[in-house]
Amino acid sequence: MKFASGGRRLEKLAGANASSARRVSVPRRWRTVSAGADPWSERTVEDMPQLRGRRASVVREVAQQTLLFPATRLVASPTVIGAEDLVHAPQPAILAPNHESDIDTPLVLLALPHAWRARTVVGAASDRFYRKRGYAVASGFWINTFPFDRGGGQRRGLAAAAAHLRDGLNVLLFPQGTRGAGPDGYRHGVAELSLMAGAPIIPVHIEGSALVMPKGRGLNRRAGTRVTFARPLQPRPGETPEQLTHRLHDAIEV
Amino acid sequence: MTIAPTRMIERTKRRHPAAEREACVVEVHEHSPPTLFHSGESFRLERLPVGSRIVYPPPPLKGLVDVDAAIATALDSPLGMDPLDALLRPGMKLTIAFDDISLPLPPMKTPDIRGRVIEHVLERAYRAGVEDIHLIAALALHRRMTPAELRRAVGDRVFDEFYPERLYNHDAEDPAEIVSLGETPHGEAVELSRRAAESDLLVYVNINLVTMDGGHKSVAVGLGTYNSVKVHHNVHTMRHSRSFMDMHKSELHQSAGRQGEIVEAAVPIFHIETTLNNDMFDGPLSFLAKPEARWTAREQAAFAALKRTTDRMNPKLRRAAFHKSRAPYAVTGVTAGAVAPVHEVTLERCAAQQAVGVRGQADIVTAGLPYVGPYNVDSILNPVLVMCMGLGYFFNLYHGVPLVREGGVMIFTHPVTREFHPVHHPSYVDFYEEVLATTTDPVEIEQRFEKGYAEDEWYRHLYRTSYAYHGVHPFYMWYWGAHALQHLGDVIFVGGDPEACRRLGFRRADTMRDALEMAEQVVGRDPSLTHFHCPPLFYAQVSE
Amino acid sequence: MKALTYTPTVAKYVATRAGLPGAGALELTDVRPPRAPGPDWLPVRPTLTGVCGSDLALISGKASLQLATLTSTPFVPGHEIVGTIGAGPRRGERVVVQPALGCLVRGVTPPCAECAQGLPALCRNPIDGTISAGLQTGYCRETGGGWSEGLVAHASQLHTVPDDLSDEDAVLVEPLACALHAARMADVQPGEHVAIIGAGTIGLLTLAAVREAAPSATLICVAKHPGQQTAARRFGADDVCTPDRVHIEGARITNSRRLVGHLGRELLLGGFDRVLDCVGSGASLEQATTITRPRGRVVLVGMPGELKADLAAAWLRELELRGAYGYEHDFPRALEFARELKPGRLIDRGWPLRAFRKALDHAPKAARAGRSKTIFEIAA
Repeated sequence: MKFASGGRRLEKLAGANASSARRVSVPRRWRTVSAGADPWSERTVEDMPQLRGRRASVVREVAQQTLLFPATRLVASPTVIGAEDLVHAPQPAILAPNHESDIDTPLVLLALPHAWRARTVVGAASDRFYRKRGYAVASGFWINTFPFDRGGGQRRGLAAAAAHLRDGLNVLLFPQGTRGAGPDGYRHGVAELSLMAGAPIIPVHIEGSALVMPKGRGLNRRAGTRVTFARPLQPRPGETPEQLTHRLHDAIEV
Repeated sequence: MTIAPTRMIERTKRRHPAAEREACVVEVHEHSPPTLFHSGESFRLERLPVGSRIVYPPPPLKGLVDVDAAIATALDSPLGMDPLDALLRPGMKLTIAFDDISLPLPPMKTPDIRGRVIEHVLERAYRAGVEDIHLIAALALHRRMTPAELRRAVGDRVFDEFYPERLYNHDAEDPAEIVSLGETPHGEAVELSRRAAESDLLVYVNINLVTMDGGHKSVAVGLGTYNSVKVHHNVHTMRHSRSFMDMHKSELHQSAGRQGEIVEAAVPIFHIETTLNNDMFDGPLSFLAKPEARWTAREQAAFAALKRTTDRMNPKLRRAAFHKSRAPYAVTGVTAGAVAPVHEVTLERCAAQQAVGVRGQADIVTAGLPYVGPYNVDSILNPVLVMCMGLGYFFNLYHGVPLVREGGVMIFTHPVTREFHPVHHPSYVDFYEEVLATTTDPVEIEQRFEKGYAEDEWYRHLYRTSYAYHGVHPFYMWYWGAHALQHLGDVIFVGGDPEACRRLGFRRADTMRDALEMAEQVVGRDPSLTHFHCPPLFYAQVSE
Repeated sequence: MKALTYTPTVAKYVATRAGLPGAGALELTDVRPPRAPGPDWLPVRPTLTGVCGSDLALISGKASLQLATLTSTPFVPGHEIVGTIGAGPRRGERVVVQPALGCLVRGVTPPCAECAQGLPALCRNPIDGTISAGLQTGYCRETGGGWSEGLVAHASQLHTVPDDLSDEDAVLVEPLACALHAARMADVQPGEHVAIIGAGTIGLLTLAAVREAAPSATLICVAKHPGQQTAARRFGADDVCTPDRVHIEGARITNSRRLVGHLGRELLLGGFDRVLDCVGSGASLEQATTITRPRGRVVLVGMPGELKADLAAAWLRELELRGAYGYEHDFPRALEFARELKPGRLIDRGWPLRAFRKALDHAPKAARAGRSKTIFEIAA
């Protein structure tokens, strides 16, 4: 049936016909039950670049200095070595610490000088930090993360990191890829990124964090930690990622 | 020869009534604007399919310039009877009966025409030396009029002088006040108000709003009782009134005519019948009678404002606002004298204002039901009254054949809320809950339930002392639509309350498009559609 | 005739520096038309006159006080003039005025070394001769200036405008000549990396001039406002960036390393071969020194005020700082170049003289949108 379609102005002025019966409103979010993990949605939340803006950074810095870092210092009592030499290291660079616990990132961030920390973004595993919106916002705010697709989506993750490097930001990536992988667990992704982007890698050694906040448990006990910054590693021309990873492993584990 | 300047030469446009009336039937094309549908106490704008017809009411005729002069002329030179002055003599018993609040709709602006006519009659009566004068509101089984309503109908001066001993409502259930006048040759009982039957002269002041009113129906039905009314207010009579707006084809009117002859033989009756134009909407809202395509931008904005305001208003406030509206009806004619010639003239005048020729019936007829009918002035249009408005009145506003074909569908827009006025319509509540819950077949309803309600003591008490409609009244509402129930294939209410529609036995839809789709299942694909753009009141002269 | 006259006093200068509202030193007055000081002088009726950044700096009190010794007040500003000759055999000829008042114009013989080399803008005798002191037309009491209905100019100052060059393009010939001169000062070799800081009129014209001088060089333009970035690309920049990202982009383009120090001071180890500073502020100069390679050249094109700049990098990197002011033989070249470059598209709008306050208020705002030039329309 074709209906008359003139008189638009009258229709628009007069508005819709008032519905008499109050209908049951459709609930805004259907409560669903999901059976098992959805293989298509490993990362449901996208990156939030607004948390890297001017004002957000100022708020973040204040929040970190007043809340996060004092708490970290309280539980981890860190000793920082080599931070003064970072002023000689060119930016942008890739910070590559070893990874034992979740307190590693706050430790590195508080060890960095302000000139570095204000220009550093942290790669956080998207399948761990970017599943729920709340966690994504929290990690994006507190430790300035961006979603890094690890495992099969590593190409995407490294490409995202390369984009940040191109923008002049330092990127904090863990070469082991996960916590507690041990000295043999160094993957080649960080080296590939360095070779691709031409950015130097700054090896960071974190000692003693596994006792403070081990994997699988929250805060365990207070203990002393040590964060050591080594000299930047420049990727040599013609170097393979495996060689660079080996150099990195040596620089960290020394 | 002087050459008059052009502006002084009045060129009157020759009006062609036939052409005008044809312009009342408009076809919807692609660029037509949406159509106004009344929907109870709100408005809707609905889009109709391309190719459907909209039947618009004729524009209102101009009223009489000097109403008093017209009344005087009518009283001095009546049709078929001696002038009123000749009929009046000192010491006679004079009774003046007049139409109740069910006319006109909406109530007209003061001064009410009934009051003006009554004042003329009384003036002549006083001059003739008549002292025994009673004024009766001829309401049959309708509800009694409140003092305020009586005041409005007859005017302040008459009210102050006559109320309450000599101005009162007709009481059909008072055994002392009823007199039986025998039976018609067909066996129909005739009962009348005692005061009216024993008068030397009965003057009836009538308003003819539609072609159903007036004639013998005024007195025979208006001053009758349940026993005299039930002979023609039944399913059989209603089903054979095709329609009751056309008195020549109406069983109802034939029966009332027979009763009327008996009444005329008993009492001399001086009928005064007045006709009104259909100028129903006051001042700034007069564009509601015009086709939507002719609305100017200002009128469109006015309508938009009106619609948005009424949509958002508190329902109680809205109801009060709507029921406060008064129609600026103008009187188009006053005739007096014997019932037959007077009513003929009256019907002609009604036709001149209201008749619209329509060629051919339609599969689907749509209409927007307004907020007020004859039985809910200052009251609530409950579901039973909605059915009466739609299937009783709107369906029957035709001469010839119904506008919708046999087996067709009628689609109405009305919210059909399940509200009942506790004072005015007490029997309706029980009718809805008890009778309609059991069955909706008019014949069965008549057989099983009517007698009980008609003779119920409580309802009788309320009718006599409170302002309630008679216990049997809801039944008559249902019979009013009996022909339509038989004739139609389906009835759909757009925007109607689902519970109420189900109880009434009808279907409902949320939007016009859904309703049309539902109707297509009954009448077939690509149905022909006619929209009956009423109110303002008019009727369709439908030819095959 | 009407003219905008600049009459500075100490009170007005202090008031302007303090930002107080008030009349300021510039007034629209009725003056007698300037008389020709000598036989070779011709009256010129300006058609269009440009508002230069130096004029704006002068009016707003930000110009360096050093220049006071080289100007004679009260004067009528305006040195970017295209007009018609008012009298004499060349009457009605459309000309562009080269504003430098050298020895030849002043009637000083023998001419100084610079004027003999053809550099009248660097004349050593701007205080001698038949007219009062003044580096240029527009800073001299006797000659009048472009912001009026008439001035006088020496015949050697007038360059005929070819017929196919519109008035709008012609009024920008003087800044274009400055830009061409700056490009020559920069002396860009093929394949070098050049940064041009600033994308106002001077910046964009310099960009075009450098592009024309060295088509194979890599040019990056540092433009603060987004509206200017498209203009920069159109005028020949390879890349455009904002001032806060210049070190990052510079590190990428020149393949150098970027060090970030305290308080956000950044430095490039390596950097551009040539940097032309067309802004003339302390921040831009400091930035210019930190992005230039050792022994690179920084050309100061823009009119400086009084600057506060940390020039440690200039010393450490052994940078060459060169000023570029005035013209050599650039006017004929500029007239030719203007034909293909069409610099008239930089003009935002023309104002009548009587609306000068609004024009001068509006000029910096317009500059941010990429239509950086404001001109006075004097004759129709």
